[in-house]
Amino acid sequence: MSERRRDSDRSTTEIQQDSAPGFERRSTDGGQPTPVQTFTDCQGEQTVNESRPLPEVNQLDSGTVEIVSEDDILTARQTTREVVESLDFRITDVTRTVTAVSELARNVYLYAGEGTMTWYEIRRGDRTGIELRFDDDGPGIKNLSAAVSGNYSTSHGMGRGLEGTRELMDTFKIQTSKDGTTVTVRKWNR
Amino acid sequence: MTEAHSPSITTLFDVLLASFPAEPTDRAVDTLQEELLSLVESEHPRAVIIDVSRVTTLDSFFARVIAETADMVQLLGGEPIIVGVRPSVAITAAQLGYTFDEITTARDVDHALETVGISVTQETTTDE
Repeated sequence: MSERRRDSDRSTTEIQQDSAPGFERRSTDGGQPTPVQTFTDCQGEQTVNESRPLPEVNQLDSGTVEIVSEDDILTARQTTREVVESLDFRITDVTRTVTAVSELARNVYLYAGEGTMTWYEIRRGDRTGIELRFDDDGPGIKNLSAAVSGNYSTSHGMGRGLEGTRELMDTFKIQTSKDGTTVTVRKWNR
Repeated sequence: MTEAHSPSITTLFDVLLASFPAEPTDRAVDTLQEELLSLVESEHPRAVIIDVSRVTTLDSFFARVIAETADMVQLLGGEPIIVGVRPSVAITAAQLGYTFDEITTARDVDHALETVGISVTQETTTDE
């Protein structure tokens, strides 16, 4: 209980989507005591300011890439490419996943200075995929709903880094507070 | 092996050809842009071909640099042409909403040369 309270004191903001087949999309009107902002994109309903876990999967092989320099963005891309190629992802999904990783790893480097990328080979039923988690202790994202809806742009990219990542992946979850940011994404083999 | 990460610039007739490596670091991308622009200034090329046929990942940073480079080449009076976008890269870029509306593109380097009036014919060419 005290754990929970501490979480809400940090005013954690969270956005989650999961468009992988076989997953239930939970409704957002579950009598939450905290105000829930919702918005919709082509993949379905999104929720903001709600904390809940991603659907359960089996995690198999895993590894970590430390992101401390610009060159580590490249290492993160290469590591991800090796993993998804070993999972027999088709070329378009390899490109989507590696592109998303490049965006997220660069965000860590640019806005937090350093952080980690942890990858997991995941399985659900007879499907395999990859889960990637980006953790940093940076200052967090002030206006999360603007950042993920593409209305918020910094001078570093084409201004669609986070929103673009959401488009490219099957699952996208972000938790951010002034103490840091965690982004978790998943991509399933088709 | 530095070759996989470092871009290269060559001259074909009076055309500059800048080839991006498969997986460039951010620094390599910045360096290529600078070198290319200073060559545009000194060589006054008819066109500048930006070859991305080896590029496997076009993220927002890389896309912005390429679009910017093309704009800058144009400001300097050159004609930028982007060639060799891979299908998987095109799909991803379109999904991300990147638009390169103002930029001329071509299938490959030969095609790009043709569009600026340089015909590339091989000695044993027999047209299909």
